[in-house]
Amino acid sequence: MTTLSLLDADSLASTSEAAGEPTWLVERRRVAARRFAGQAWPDSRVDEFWRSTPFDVRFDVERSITSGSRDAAATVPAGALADVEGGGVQVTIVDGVLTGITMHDAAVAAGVVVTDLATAAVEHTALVEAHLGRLTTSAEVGTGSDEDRTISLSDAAWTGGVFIHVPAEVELDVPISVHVHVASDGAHLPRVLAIVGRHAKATLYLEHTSDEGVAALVDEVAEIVVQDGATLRLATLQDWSAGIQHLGLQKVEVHRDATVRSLAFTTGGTTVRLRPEFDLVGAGAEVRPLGIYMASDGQWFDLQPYVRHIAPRASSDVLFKGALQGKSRTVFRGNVFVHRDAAGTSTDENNRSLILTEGARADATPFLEIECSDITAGHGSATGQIDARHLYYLQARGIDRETALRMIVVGYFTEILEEADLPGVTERAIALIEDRIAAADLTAVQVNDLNLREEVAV
Amino acid sequence: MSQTEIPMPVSEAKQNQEKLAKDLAEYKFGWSDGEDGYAFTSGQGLDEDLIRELSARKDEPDWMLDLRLRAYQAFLRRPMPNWGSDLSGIDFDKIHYYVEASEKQANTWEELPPEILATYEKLGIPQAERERLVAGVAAQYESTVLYHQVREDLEKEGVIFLDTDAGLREHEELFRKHFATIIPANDNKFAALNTAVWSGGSFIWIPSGVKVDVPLQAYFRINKQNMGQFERTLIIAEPGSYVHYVEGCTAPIYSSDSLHSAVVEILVKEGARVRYTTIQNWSNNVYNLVTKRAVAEKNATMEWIDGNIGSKVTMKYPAVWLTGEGAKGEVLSVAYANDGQHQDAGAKMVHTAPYTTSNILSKSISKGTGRTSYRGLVAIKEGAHHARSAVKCDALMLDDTSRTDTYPYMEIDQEDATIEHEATVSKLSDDQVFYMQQRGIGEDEATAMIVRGFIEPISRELPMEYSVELNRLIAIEMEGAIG
Repeated sequence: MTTLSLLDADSLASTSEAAGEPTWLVERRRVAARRFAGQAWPDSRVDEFWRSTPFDVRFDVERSITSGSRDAAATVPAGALADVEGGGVQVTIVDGVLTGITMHDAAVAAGVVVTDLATAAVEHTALVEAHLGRLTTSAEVGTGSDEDRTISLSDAAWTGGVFIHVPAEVELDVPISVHVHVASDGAHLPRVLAIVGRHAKATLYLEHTSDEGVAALVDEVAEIVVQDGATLRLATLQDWSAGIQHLGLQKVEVHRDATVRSLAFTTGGTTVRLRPEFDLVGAGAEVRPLGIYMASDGQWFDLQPYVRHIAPRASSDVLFKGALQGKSRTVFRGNVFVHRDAAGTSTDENNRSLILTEGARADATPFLEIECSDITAGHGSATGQIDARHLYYLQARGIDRETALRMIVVGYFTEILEEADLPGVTERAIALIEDRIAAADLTAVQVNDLNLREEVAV
Repeated sequence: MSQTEIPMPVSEAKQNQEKLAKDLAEYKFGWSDGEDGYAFTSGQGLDEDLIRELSARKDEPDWMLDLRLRAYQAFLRRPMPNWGSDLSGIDFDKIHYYVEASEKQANTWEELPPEILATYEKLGIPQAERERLVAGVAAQYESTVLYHQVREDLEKEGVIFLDTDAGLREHEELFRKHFATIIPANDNKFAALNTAVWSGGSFIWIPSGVKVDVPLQAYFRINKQNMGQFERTLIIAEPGSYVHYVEGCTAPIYSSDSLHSAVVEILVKEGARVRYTTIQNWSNNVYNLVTKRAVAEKNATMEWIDGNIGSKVTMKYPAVWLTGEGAKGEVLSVAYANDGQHQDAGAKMVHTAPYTTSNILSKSISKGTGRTSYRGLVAIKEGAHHARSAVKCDALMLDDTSRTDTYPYMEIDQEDATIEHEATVSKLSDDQVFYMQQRGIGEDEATAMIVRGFIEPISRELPMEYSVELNRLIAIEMEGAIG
C-alpha cells in the first residue's frame, strides 16, 4: 500500500470496482482523486484557515491507509452507551472497517436504517447517491470544504463508512452511537452519512478511542442532513490516546425550522483539528454548537466551528469553553457568515479559555462576516485564570485547595454539559475531565488575585 | 500620460467625466493643480537606478542608500498579502515613485508656488497655524515637504520637528540609531517598499520632560495622477515628555489609482506619552496601505486615534508593542466605508512586559457597496504577567447592501492574562429615525445625529476642530443615506 501522498485515481477506482461499488461511486472517487492530485497539503503561510496550525509539523501524511484488523474488534473499549439504561444503536468501526452494528428494537420498529456505507450505496442508492459528497463539494453559497486536500482525500479514499437514515416523523429516543476505534498505525478514513428526515428526532454520537501506543492519522468526514422541522442532538467525543492526529469535519446542513444542538468534546489526541460546520439553509433553522476542550502537556487542539446563515430568520449561538495546562496549545477559530438574504438572523459566538498552568497558549479568533444589516449579532471571547475569589470562598468553607480547584474546573464546564444533556455522554465527559485534573499538577495551578486584591483594598 | 495608453471610446470617456463630476461634487477635496512647475518627476515604475537617483538628489549618506537597496530586494521578494482586501488593482509599473513639486522648502506660506498655496488655503492649513491651533506644521505635497514651521518657543525647548529628509541631514546619529528599528525594512511588502523609496514625513524628537501642549500637524496631499506617496515618520519621545501629532490626508479624484504607503515608527520612552491622530480622507482612487507601530517602554502611554473616511482600500493596523512594565496602549478607530470602499482597519497590541494594559475601541460604519472590516491582534507573550486587554468593536450598517466583518485575533501565551473581546453589529434603526422625525428633525439630520452619537466616544477624544471636521466629513458622506 502506498502512502497518502502517492494516491492515484486509477488504482483507487479499480479497488472500488473490485469491492463491488456501483459505477457512480467509482466515478466520484476518481473525480475526487484527480482533485486531490491537483492540490497541495495545507500551508499555514498561504491558507488562512490553517494560519494557526502548521500542517507539516502536526500531521504526518507519510502513512498508508489501514485495511482493517478483524481481531481488534474484541478490544474496543466500552462506549458512552455502555451504562445507559436501555442502550441504543451501536456501530463500531475499527481500523477502517465497520466491524459491528447492534440495532435497538425501537430503531428497528421505526424503520431506522443503520448500515455499512458501501452496502448502502447499493441498497439505498437513491439517498446515498443524492447526498454522499454533496456537502463537501463546493457550491456557490455557503459550503466549500473540498478546496482542502484533507477533504478531497476522504472523498476519494474513505473506508469504513456508515449510513444512517432516520425516516420522516420518526422520533427515536435512544441514541445512535458510531464508535471509531484505532488499533493500528496508519491512516484511517472513516466516513459518516446521516439523514434525519422531516420532523424526525434523533441523537447521534461520534465516539473516538484508540489503543495506547498507536501512531495514526484519522481523517474523518461526517455529512449530516437535518431536514425540515427535524431535531438532532449531536455529540463528538475525542478520547484518543497520545499519538493520534485527528482531522474531523462534521458538516451539518440544517433545513427549515430544524433544530440542532451539538457538543464537541475534546480531551485526547496529540493534535485534533475539528471543523463542526453548520449551513443554515432553511428559514427558521436553529443551531447551538457547544464545545468543551481540555488540553494537557504536548496537545494541540484547533477548533473551527463555522456557521453559515444562508436563509432568513435562523439563529445560532456558539459557545466553546476550554481549559489548558502544561505546554499545550489551543486555537479557537470561530466563523459566522451572514448572507445578504439572511434577514432576521440572530447570532452569537463566544469562546472562554481558562489557563491553568504556565506554558499553555490559547488563541481565539471569533470571526464575523456580515452582508445583511437586519440582524442581531454579537461575539465575545475571554481568556483568564481561575479567580482567586472562587478558590477563597471554597477554602473558607473548609474545602482543601485541590478539591476546590477540581470543583471549580468541573463547574466551569458544567454549564455546557447540563445544556447538552446527552445520556451517557455527560457522565463520560465529567469522568474524562476529572481524569485530566487528577493527572495534573494542581500545585502548579495559578490563580488570578486581581479581583480579590481590589476587594480587599476597599 | 504615458504614450502607450489606448484612447478610450468617447461614450466611456463621457461617462467617466460625468462620474468624475459627480464624485467631485461629493468629495470636497478632489481638485487637482497643474504640474508645469514641477522640479522633478520620476517616470513610471521602479528600479534600482531610480532609488540611486532619488538618494543622490537627497544627497544621502551611503548607509541609507544601502538600506534602500536592501529594502527594494525585500519588496521584490515579499509576496502580496493573501488576506485583507483585494489589491490586484495596484499596478506597480504605473506608479510615479518620486515627484518634487518644488525644489526648496518654504518657511512662509507666501514662498510657495501660488497654485499649491491656494490648495492649502482651501484646506485651511495656514488658517489653523495663524490661529495658533497647532504648534508646528509640516505640509507634504507629492514626495516632499514643501512648507515647514515650528513655534519658536518649542525650538527653544529643544523640540525637533523637521521633515524626515532634513532629520537625516541634520541629526544623522540620532536618526540612524532609531530608523527602521521598530519597523524593519523587510517587515512586510509595503513597509519594504516604503523603506526603499521613502521621502518626506516627519522627524520628531521631544526632550525629557517637555510637554508640547498643542498638537503638531502634518498635512499630506497627493496631486499627481498615479502618484505613489511614501512618507516616513519617526517620533522619539524622551522620558516624561508628551506630544500630540495630527495628520490629515487628501488627494484629487482620478480615474486611475494612486498608492499611499507610509511607515510610522514611534518610540515612547519611560513615562512619556504620545498621541497620534489621523484623519484620513484620501479620494476614492487611493490605495492606502500603511504600517504604523509604536514601542511603549516602562509606564509609557501610546494612543492611536485613527479615522478612516476616504480611500478606495485601506489596510492599516496601528500597533503598540508594550515592552516596559506598566506600559499602556490605546487605539480608537473610526472607519466609514461608502460605495466601492473597503476599510480594512484595526489595531495590534503586543504585550511583552508585565502589568501592561491595552484598549481597542473600533467603530465602523458601512453604506452602499462599502465594506468595513475590523482586523486586530492582541498577543500576550510569555512573561507578560498581569497583562490586561479589552477590545470592543461596534459596527453600524446604514442599509442592506453594505458589509461588515470582524476578524479579531487573540494569541495568549501567558496564563494570568485577562483578555476580553466583544463586538456588536447593528443597523440604523427605523424606530430611532422615526422618533426624531416626530420631533421635527429631518430624516437626513436624524441619521447624521445617530451616526454622530455612534462615533461620539472617539470624536470627543479629538481636538475640537478635528472633531468638528470628522463630523462634517461624515455628514458629507452621509448625504442621501436613507435609500
